[in-house]
Amino acid sequence: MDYRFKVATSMLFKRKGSMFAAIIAVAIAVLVIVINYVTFDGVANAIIRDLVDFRFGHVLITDRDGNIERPDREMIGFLENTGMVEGATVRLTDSASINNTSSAVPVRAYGIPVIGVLPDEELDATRIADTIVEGTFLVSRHSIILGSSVAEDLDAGIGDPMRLKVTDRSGNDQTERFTVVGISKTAGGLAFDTSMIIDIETLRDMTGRDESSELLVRLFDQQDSGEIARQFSARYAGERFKVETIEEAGESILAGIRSGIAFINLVGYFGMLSSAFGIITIMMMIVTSKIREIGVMRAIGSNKADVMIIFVIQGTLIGAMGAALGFILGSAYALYAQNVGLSFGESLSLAVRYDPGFVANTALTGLVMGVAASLYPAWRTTKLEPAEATRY
Amino acid sequence: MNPRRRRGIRGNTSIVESVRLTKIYGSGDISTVALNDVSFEIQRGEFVLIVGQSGSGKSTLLHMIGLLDKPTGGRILIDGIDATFLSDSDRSEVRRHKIGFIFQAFNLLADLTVVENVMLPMMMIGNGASSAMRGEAELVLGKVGLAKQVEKQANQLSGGQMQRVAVARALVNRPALVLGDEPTGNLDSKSSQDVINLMKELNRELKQTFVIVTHAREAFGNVDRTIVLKDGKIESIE
Repeated sequence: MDYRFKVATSMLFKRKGSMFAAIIAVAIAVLVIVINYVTFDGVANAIIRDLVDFRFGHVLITDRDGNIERPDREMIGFLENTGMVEGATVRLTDSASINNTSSAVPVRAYGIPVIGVLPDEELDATRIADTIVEGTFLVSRHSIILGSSVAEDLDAGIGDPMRLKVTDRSGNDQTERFTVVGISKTAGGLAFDTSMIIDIETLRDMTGRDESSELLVRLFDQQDSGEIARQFSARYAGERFKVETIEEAGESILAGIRSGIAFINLVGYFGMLSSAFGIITIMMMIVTSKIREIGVMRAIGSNKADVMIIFVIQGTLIGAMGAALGFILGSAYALYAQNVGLSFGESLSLAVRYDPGFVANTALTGLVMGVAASLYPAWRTTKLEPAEATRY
Repeated sequence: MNPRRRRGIRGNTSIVESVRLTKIYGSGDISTVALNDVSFEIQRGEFVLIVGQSGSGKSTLLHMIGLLDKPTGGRILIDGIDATFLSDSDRSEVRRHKIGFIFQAFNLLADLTVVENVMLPMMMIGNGASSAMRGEAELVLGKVGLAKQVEKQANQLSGGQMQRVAVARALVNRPALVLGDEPTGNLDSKSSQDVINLMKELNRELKQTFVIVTHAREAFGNVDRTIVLKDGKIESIE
C-alpha cells in the first residue's frame, strides 16, 4: 500500500467524529440538491401532466386569426387516422353570467369562463372525467358541470337549476336553463375549478358561432408530438393553423417554473458551498493537529507534494464517502417521492421521475467538492518548515 | 535526482562536510546569528556529539546537517553531495535515502502502530513488497528490544520504548547518517542510558554515523569526537 494512502487513512479514521461530520456535510449537500430537484422537477412535471390532461393535450391546435372554422369531424378524423392519436377533441370557450335559481334569493356570478366540449371525444382526449369530484360528466345538452370555486360562489350543488346567459355574435343576450350534474376540482386548480363545462353544441347554438376555439390532441406517445404537428401542418398547409406541442403551448407557465427550479438549485449549490467550507474547517483542524507529524514526515523523507497528497487523499475519501451516502439518501428520497405520489397539503401530487443520472451527477459534484475543499488545507502544509514543524 | 548516482563524491570518507556554514535569522537590526562560519567534517562511522549551552546553535546546526533548514551562507555536503542549493524535493530525496532522525519528543505518528512507524521510511522509498518491509521492520524492532510491541499503537508505549521505536525508524533504511536532537532529553536516567547504549551498540555493529545534539555529554561516555559550540561558533572539537 502506498504510504501516503496508509497515513491518510490512519489519520482520518482515527478521528471518526471529524470524519463523520465532514462526510455528513457532503451527504447533506447532495441530499438538499436532490430534494430540491426532485420536488421542483416533480412540480414542473405535474404541471405538464395536468396541462396535458386538462388544458392542452400533447398537441394544441388553434387558429392564428381567431376561431377554427373547419368541421370537427374532418380534423378529428384526419388525426385519428394517423394511428398515433389516442383521442382528439375540440373546445369552444366563451364567458357567461350564471344564476343559481334554486335559492329564494338568486345568486349570480359574472364573467365566468364557459367551455363547450364534445362529450364523447372529450373523454377520449382528456382526463376531464378525473376532475369530477361530485356527480357525473355531461349527460345531456342542458347539463352543466361547475368548477368547485364557481359552485362555492353560487352555493350550488348537484341537481340545482342554473340559468346561463351569454352574448351571441350579434350582441344579443341568450339565456338557457341547465341542471348541475357535476362539480369539477383538481389539486393545484389547473383544470376547471373556476370554469363551467357544457355541451359544445349548446354553446354554439346560444352564441351562434359554429366554430371551435381549439383542437386538443392526445397521443399514445408524447414523442410523436413533432410528427403529428408536421403532418397536420402539411395537411392544412394553406391555412392559418397554429400547431404547438405541450412544451410550446405551456411555455409561459413552464418558463416561470423552470426559472424557479434553476434558482432553487442555485440555492442548493450555495448550500453545497457552505458544506465545502465546513470540510475546509475540519481539514484545517486536522492539519493543525498534525503539524508536528507533518514535520516528522518531511524530516524522514516526504516532500511537499507527498504531504499535500496525504490531505488530498483525505478530502477524496471524505468526498467519496459523503457522495456515496448522499447518493443512497437522495435515491431513497426520490424513489419514495416517485412511489407515493408526494403532495403537500392541497397541492397537486408531484410527478416525480427518479433520475439516477441526476443523483449520480450531484453525488459526483459532492465528491469533487470534497477534493476541492481539501486543496487549501493541503496547500497550507507546504508552507510548514520541517525544522519548525517538528518542534510544534 | 537520485542521490545514489549523484556525481561529486570526493575521494575521502566524509559523510558530513560543513564549509563556513552561517545561519542568520531575521534581517537588519532584529537579525540573530545562529551559526557563524562553522566548518568541520564528520567521517563515516563516527559517533559525534554536538554540545553547547542553550542558544549556542546546536539544534540549528543539526537542522542544517539534516537538510531541514537552509544556510544563509557557506555550504553543507552530505555524503559528497553539495546540498546547499538543492531544491526542496531533492533535499527530501537525500533525507529519505541517507539520513535518519531521532527527536527529543520521539515524534512517532500516533495514528500508526509501532511496526507501521518503523516501516514508514521504507514505504517512502517503496523498495520491496509490503511483507518484506514488515519483516525488516520487525527485525529492527527486535534489535531495539521491542519484538513484542510491534502491533501496539505508538502512543501506548512508555517514553523509553517510544524512543527505541524512533531509533528503529531512524535505522531501518540503513541510512549513512543518523541525527539525534536531544534524544534522551525526555527520558529518565535509566531509559536514557538504555537508549545511549543502544545507539552506541548500533554504531559499532552497523558502522552508521551518529551525530547527536545533547546537553548530557557525560552520559554518552567515550565518543569519537565532540564539537563544542558557543554563540554560534565552534569553540573546540575534542
